[in-house]
Amino acid sequence: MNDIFKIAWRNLWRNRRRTMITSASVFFAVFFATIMRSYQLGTYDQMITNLIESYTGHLQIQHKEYQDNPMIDYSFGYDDTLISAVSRIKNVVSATPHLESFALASNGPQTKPVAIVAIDPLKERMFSNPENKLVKYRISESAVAAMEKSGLFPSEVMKKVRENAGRAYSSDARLELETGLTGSEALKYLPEILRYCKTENGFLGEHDDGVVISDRLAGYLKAGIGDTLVLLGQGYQGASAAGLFPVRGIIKMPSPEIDSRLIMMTIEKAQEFLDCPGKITTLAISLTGRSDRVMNQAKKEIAAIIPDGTTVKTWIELNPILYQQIQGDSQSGMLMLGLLYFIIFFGIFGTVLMMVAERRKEFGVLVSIGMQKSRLKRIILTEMSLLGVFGLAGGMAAASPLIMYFYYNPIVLKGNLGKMMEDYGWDAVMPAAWFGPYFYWQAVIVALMVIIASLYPMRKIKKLKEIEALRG
Amino acid sequence: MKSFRKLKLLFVPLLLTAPAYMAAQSLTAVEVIKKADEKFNGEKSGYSVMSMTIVRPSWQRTVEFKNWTMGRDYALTLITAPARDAGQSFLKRGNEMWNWNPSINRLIKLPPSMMSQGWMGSDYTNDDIMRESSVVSDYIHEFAGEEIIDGRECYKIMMTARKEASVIWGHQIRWIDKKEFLFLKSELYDEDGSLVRTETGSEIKIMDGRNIPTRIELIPAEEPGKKTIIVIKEIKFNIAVNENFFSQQNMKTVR
Amino acid sequence: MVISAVTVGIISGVMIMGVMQGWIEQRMHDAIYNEVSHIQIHNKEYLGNEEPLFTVIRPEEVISSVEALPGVRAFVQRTKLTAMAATPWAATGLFIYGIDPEKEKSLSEIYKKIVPGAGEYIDKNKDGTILISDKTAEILKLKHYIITSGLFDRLGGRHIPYSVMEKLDSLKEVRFRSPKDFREALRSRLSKKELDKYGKILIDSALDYRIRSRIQITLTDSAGNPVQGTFRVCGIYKTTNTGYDQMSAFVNAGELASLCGTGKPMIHEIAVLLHNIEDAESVRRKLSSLPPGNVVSTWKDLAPDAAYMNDFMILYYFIIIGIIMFALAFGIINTMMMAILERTKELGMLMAIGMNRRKIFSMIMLETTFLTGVGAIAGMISGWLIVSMLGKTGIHFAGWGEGFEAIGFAAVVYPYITTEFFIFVILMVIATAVLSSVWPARKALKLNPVETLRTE
Repeated sequence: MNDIFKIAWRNLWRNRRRTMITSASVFFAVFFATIMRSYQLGTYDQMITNLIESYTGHLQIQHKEYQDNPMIDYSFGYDDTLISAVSRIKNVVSATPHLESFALASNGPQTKPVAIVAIDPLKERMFSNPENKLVKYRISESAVAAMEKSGLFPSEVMKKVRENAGRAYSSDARLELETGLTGSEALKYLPEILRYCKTENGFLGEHDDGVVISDRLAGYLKAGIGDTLVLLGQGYQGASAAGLFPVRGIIKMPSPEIDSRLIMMTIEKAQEFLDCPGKITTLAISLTGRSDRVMNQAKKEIAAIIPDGTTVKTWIELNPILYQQIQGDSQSGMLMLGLLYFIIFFGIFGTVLMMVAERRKEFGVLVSIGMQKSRLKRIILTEMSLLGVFGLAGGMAAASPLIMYFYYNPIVLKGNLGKMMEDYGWDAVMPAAWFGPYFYWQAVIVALMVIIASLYPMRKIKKLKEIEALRG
Repeated sequence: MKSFRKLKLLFVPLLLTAPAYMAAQSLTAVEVIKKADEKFNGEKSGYSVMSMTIVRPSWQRTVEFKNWTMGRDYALTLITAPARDAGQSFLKRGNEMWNWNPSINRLIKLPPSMMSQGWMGSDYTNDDIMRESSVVSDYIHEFAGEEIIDGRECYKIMMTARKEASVIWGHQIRWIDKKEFLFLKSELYDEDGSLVRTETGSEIKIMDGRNIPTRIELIPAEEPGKKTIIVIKEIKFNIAVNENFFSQQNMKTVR
Repeated sequence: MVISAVTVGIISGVMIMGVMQGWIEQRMHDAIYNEVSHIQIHNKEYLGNEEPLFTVIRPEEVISSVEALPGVRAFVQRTKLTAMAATPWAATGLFIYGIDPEKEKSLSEIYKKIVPGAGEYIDKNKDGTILISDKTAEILKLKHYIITSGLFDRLGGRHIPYSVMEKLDSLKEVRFRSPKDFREALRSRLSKKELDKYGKILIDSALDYRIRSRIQITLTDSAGNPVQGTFRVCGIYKTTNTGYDQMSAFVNAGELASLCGTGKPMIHEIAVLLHNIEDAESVRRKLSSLPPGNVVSTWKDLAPDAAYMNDFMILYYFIIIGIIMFALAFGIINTMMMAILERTKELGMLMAIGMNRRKIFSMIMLETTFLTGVGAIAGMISGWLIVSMLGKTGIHFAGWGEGFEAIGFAAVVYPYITTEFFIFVILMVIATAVLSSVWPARKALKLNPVETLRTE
């Protein structure tokens, strides 16, 4: 074996150029495929993570009928023992209760339909952390007027500010992004702008009887902090629900749809409002990891301890459409890579053809001086494999640092594209996925290519008639 | 959409009145319905005390209320029980609908979406509350026989919705007591001929000098264990009341 | 070899781009022709709060401004009110649009989206009718499934074996009011294999929309009081966007006006279709002299997802073609190198007899470019043919249909290539060919004629 390897090695180095080019093709394919796939999977990861972390959780406990009929009547009873029992299960990081329902909100003559999401303010911090989205800056009319009066800001900056009058932001980064301030403008004027636009805000206390409302909704209802909202609706088992709620804070949700109808309150208060003491609609459970194994294991164990009439579902079961979308996109991505490899394969095959043609004489000589055809085959196969390995190793080696870098420092998207992602509730970044099965798949594909490409020389050698080869 | 009628708020499901004119000559189907309808809706004004029980497969709830009506355009309802809902009142003036809720101290104009789930969680739909249609003019009537319900002889009348009428039912079958022209049973069908709802009137008693069914049940089809039951506890006809009674001010003070 | 590699590469590139382009074209087309048009004008307050009283301010002035603009293909005015729609079985909230059906046809393609066999579009002369979507019909329980005796006989033996039909005997003439119920009934009677094979044809043929059913509409008029009216379903339409579908129903504007008690129809929305989509922004600017209180929105504001997809496309162009060209470059270099090495003798001879280096260089380059070009042309033609064929039949994405339609993408894609793409590809191919030929050409130059002649 060893000398076959040595011979193959020497053969490769004899024709450096060909070796370089062929392995470079493989290198390129592997490099590119790895990076692309890493980005694709990274993006899906991000979408799923966003969904899981801020909304669904990995698993959810719900009333059996709730998914088909998301009504308050299909809530279930819970208490701290259930939460601690669930939290004790292996791999469970947290269990966060939510109570969701619908109502009409009014502040004066208008009524607007709203979605109530009741939370446990302390627990929620560990889960979706809504306080992150509280409005910190608002380009209010008074702020604009004050800024104009101060004379500190040049007209282009003021123009951008005025174009965004009325809007609210949960962070300085968002304000900068949405107003479209250039880098230098931001450097010079942003801190001042922030100073003028800073706004007071609050959140729910642990036993608060008030609400936090989303920014657009606050605009429609013309309600601010300190105002009292009326909420009306139908509660549990037909009870009528009516209540007055002081506004404690205003929150900015990225998606305009949600931003125009969200009301948050404590679970206690919601239970009182809807007349369903002790009940919640979902218990969101986050796990240590997202692998199927961890999820299914946890699901099984949780299913054993949940109360009758409830069920535990994975995020996939709760979001079949998102799952479909991801699958669809992933498949098309794989298709693209497949085509990429296909093209590269053609190139490699071309090289192989050339090589065989070129070395026909050499093969003829070797066989006629006594080398076993099988040995020759093995040498050629080793050569091809080595070429594959060079390319593969090179590609992986080149891709790895990039993956590692972008995993920790994803590219931030700016402009329209970034905005759209934000609207859908994602961070405007292009993340890379960590190494995973996809990485090793490249090796499999390369191996496959090598094998198929080798078939031709193998066959040729088999059919080789030394005399003809020698005659050249 | 042909007919544009004013709204009718109906919180009194059955209001029965004057003794029947049992004429010797036979009545046509539409005349029977007309008589029953007049007994039902024809009073100038009225006051009633009722309880409504909402029955569901896994729970049950009873709401008690007092109701004042004048003609078809004015109605005031005050919820008296359970404690959580007590004090709430609903006012109808023409096509205006209001709700007063003392626990939040607010007077609200009711939007249609509030009523889409049934009034107070019951099986009374928007359609019942708004009561645009007329059993007399929106249907074509014909006799479909006679049956005995609860020991009382009834006309069985088939009512087919007129094509241009603004009703969502395809047809109805009503059983009307021959003696007193009481609606004892109604079956409401959709346009494909599927039964959607059954309404029954029973426990006929004399109240304020008249015979009326004091127990009305509303039973949605195809949903076992689900119904709404109204029990009339007290009723007074032709009370002294005028338009001013039906005011936003009164919503807050009526007892 | 070079030729085939290039051909394959181009074909695949064309295919991928075709599908993507087809998708995005479809979404944009549908967004504009079914949903938002190029421009819409509303009362500023209406965009925040869809209350009936926020009608367009001084609509006659707005309309004459629109009419006076060049580049306008069509425009319509609509009443748009939130309403509750109810049938004996179910109720739901949606928008009711009061339209002029004939004028709408010049701007919206919904009239083309009527489900075959499910009624017709709104007729100006027919009173009391309403056009609803497939999704709304489903919610209101007007989308029924029934295996009539007639259907039973038609299917048996011909499309579906008798053995399977027998199992469904108990379902004859049973009316199901929702797709879910019907599927449950089928699932409980048929095996999984039978379901996979015959499920679709059963569901498709048993489908029965209850056209002519009455729907009760409850609206709030401008005083905030509820008004109620009944309409008959005249037809069922279906676009690729179920989100839009379930919120949109259409009636004659005049009828809506009489229902609400207003003499003339209230105008909440004016939609404008231009000859050229690129004009949207400039038209918006021209309309800035409208009565104050009105707001002009372009399709980019109203259907941002379509807008972003469009922008995204250009990025995709570069990325995909770039990748493919790169891959091809390798192949080309590779093969050309080999070719040169093989022709060392020939080249040596040429040099020996005095052909100067530059000529040799250009010769190699031309050869490379020529080969690449041939491959490219072959690839483009085949690619174009394939795309055109698929462009007519469409590629069906089974299984992911729901996921796509939820966000407005069709489950069937019609691939499509623009001429710009073609030109772009040709340019890229030429560039690649030229660049890839550099190295082999230089290699050729470095050959020592004497040595090459020596090899045997």
